[in-house]
Amino acid sequence: MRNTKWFTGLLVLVMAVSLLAGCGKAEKAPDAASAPAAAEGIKIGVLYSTTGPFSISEKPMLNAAKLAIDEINAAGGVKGKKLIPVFEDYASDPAKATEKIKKLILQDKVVATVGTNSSASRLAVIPDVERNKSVLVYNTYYEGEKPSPNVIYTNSVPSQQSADFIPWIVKNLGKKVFFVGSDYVFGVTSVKKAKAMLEKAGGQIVGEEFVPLGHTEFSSLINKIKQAKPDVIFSAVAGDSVVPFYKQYQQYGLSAKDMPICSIATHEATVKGIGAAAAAGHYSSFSYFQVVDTPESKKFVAAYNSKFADNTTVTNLAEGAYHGVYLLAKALEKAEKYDGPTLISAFKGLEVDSPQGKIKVDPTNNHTWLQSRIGKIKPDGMFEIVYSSNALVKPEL
Amino acid sequence: MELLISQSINGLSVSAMLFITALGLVIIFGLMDVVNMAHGEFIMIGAYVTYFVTTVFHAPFVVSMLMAFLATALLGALIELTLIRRLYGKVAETLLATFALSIILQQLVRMAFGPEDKFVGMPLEGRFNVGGIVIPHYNLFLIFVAVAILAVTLALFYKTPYGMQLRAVTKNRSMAQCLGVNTARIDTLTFACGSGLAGLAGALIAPVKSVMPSMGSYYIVDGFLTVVLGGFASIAGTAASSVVISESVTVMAGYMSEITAKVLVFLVIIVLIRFKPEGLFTTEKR
Amino acid sequence: MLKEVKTVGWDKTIDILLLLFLVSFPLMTSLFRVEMMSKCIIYIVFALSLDILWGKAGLMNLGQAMFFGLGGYVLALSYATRDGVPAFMSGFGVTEVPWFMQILHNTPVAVLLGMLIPGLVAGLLGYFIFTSKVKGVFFNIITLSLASLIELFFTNQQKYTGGANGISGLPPLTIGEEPLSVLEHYYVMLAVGLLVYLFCRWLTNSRFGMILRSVRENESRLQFLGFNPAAFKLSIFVISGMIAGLAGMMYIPIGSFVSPTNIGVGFSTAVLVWLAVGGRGNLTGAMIGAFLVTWLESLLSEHFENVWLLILGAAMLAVVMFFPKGLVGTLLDWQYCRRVDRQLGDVSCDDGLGLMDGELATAKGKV
Repeated sequence: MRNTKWFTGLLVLVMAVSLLAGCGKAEKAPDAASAPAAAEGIKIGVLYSTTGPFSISEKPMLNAAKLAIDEINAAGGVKGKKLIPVFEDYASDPAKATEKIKKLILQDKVVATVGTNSSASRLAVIPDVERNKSVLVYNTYYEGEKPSPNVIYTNSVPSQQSADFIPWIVKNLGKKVFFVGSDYVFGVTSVKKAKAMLEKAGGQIVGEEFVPLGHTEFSSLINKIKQAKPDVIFSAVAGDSVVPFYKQYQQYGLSAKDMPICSIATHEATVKGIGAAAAAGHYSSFSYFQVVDTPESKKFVAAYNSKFADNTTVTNLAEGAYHGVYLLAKALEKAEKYDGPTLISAFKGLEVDSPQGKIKVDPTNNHTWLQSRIGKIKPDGMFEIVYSSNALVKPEL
Repeated sequence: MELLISQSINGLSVSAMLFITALGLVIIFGLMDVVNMAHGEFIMIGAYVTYFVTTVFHAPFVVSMLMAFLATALLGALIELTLIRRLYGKVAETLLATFALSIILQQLVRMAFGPEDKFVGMPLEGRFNVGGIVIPHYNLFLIFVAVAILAVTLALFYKTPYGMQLRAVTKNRSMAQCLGVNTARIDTLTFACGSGLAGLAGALIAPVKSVMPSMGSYYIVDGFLTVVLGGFASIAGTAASSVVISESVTVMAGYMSEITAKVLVFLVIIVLIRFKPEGLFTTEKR
Repeated sequence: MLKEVKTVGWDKTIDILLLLFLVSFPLMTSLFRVEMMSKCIIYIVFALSLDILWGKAGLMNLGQAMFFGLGGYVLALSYATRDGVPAFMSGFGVTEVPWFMQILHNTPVAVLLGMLIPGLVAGLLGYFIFTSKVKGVFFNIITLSLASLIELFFTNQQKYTGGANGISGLPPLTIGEEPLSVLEHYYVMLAVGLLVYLFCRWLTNSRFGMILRSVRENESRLQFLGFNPAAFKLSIFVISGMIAGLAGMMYIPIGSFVSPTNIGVGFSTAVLVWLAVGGRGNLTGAMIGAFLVTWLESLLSEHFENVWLLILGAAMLAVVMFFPKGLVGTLLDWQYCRRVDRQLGDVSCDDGLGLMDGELATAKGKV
């Protein structure tokens, strides 16, 4: 028994010392590093969760960001300086994200941060990014918001995902559309935008339903869909609900042949979970699919798959993080100083050749002009691109 | 009206699923006073076993049900022998230990197999179509399995020597010990049985839900609601309360938000237990 | 019978050391760490709110975060709706701030409600649970399910709560015209934390605190002596809920953000972990636990990718298995036993006398 007690004392001591040491070490690091670091490299924050439920989308994004940083450094870096990534994991907790962004900006003195994925974590970090006049490069398709002056949004907003999709649906699949979505800002906003576009395109809204975020039981929804007899289902069902939705859709005997689901949130990784049998024949709209046939895309997918054997899939999200880092590198190349406002203005009008093709940052609203594509899921579970826009689609909020 | 009928029928298969996912929790909690926070992770492990058996090794689904049960039961026994055993009678400590365990298990699976969804195919494809109301075969299978599990556990607890000993231990541990019951073995068996049922639940939900590291968190809440309503040690009570909760929520969800329905049902439960503290479906008095 | 053991317990010593450390902390480190420490102080207050309930009265609330979250949401809504309809509401077609939020525009009223509403919820819940004859564990299960339902409910009521995204961009504290600096915030939080600590010490040493302890130890005897245990449980539950609500409000200017993760099961379990690590029933353990765990979590996740969560889980498991009384609890028992050993000579009292969690040392030496 005595031993245990000594052990306790020791443990407390060790914990206290390591804690102080941890603080001390972390404190000293930037002081010692700041002067030479300025000459050696440019620090950028990479803020993605590898623990907790968000890691399902953020692990591939982290991988893609790592890949892009390595490629840029291998090609000589930015203005002869290497990019030095500082990785932080916020454990899928927006409250923790606020702490981590402060750490990145105030302690590590990063010039910009690439990261966050869910709207909750983006909104949680924006006040700190703004207060400290730093820069956030946000790489996920999302619902659209009044752009923060300190954030560059490099993936699509609902209008970009639906602008070509809705007219195409009306023309090729049918006029009667049933709208479903996850009941949160992304789902609700996307459905609202899509409905307006459908009316303009001459379609007919035959129903609208929202399911709670993370919902996994779709029998009620499927009953309502069947009663409404639509031609097409437009789906903004997102997150953990996507796989059960498709699985149960098939289980209840609805088929892609009669009523295809046209989704703005179902990508390669979720199709794997749904299974080719249940997923085949449904459609998705994104700016990028893994099968996009550009040299950049082929190089990206091959490099990703050879570098990361961790059971993750290249999706639109991963490509977003990848081109986000490239945009950032180009902005760093262009900017003379690395304070927030200068860096942000360096982004405006910037163009890069990304895996999805040429993309361009809008000069006014901090969002990005992107490609628009519609993919149909083939019986082998891969997407087949059935539509590509000829011109970049404008980000309209 | 058609909506009402088909919702009620859906409610039955939802009940079956709730009963299957909650039963392991009820057994471990009701009989051993252990709030098993890792229950969801046992469900997840069962689902992953199913993924490996059916998708990777292409074995029949029934085999995966068996394997999921055995694998999680084994894991449960191991955990009982190494951790839980030393913490009996301390609700807080067992809860925290199983919570820590759930964090570790979830992150281990995430690191080993990746964070993304795994695919488990649908073993029974067909469906009945009665006057516009569709009933998938698999849902009937779920109801059938739920009834079978109910029958088997009831028989196990009330008709076998093990069950008798278990009930003796639950009622009065030291007395049972005096009468020569090997309480340690009973504890291990019971914990293994509860974990195994969670694994089996994981196998059964895998074809219709997502299979991923954090999936377990979706089943814990409803499991505890079922425990609250059904009373603690009562297996039949669990069955009844699963039906009541799922039916009321599913039928109400046809007309309002499902969350609102759930909150309403829960408020009713809190008020009811004021008057019937042993849970609604227990008649036995100690 | 032994003589009274008259020395200052290590718990008080640790408390004073902790206070000195916290007061001088800003001198030692960067502003960023100070800001983290402000959050840590809030967590300490939150941990205290559970310790007076669980440690002292034996009521393990598995949903303590719902009070924290309620307090937080009340103040957050008060700030967010002050300049017209916020974006998260207008996005869902709300054109006018609803009346029940307009009341909140008056800051004192909001602060008052931020404590009263959690207190009221605790009161109602407590009334239904404590006055019926349910088993003790029932309290755990019902609070656990309630916490998860509240989390779902707040996620679902996005018109009024911002849904899963929560409410962000909340302002710092302002006194007069200028918003407070990081350092000023820190000392304001420290002062409030100190007040809460003193209140908890006073409360648990008072007659009321003594009765609470007997609620934990032997409820039926208390009843026999003519007390009504339900009334005592109910009042400590309400007080605990109000302090948690206060902690939730303190969180708003520091975190500038509130979301359903602040109200649900995950956060409720986190506070249980802090108490388990530090040791419950002696206030010091709660504070040390909250302090150690939050800092370990931050520093570990800064240094180890992926596996930090495993390390944290394993450490948690180790404490629960080997130090069931928590670090501080074990330390206090050890100190007490040494003292008793010295007085008794060869009779060793070893690991406690069935009392729990450092309670031994505070039992004033009556063996």
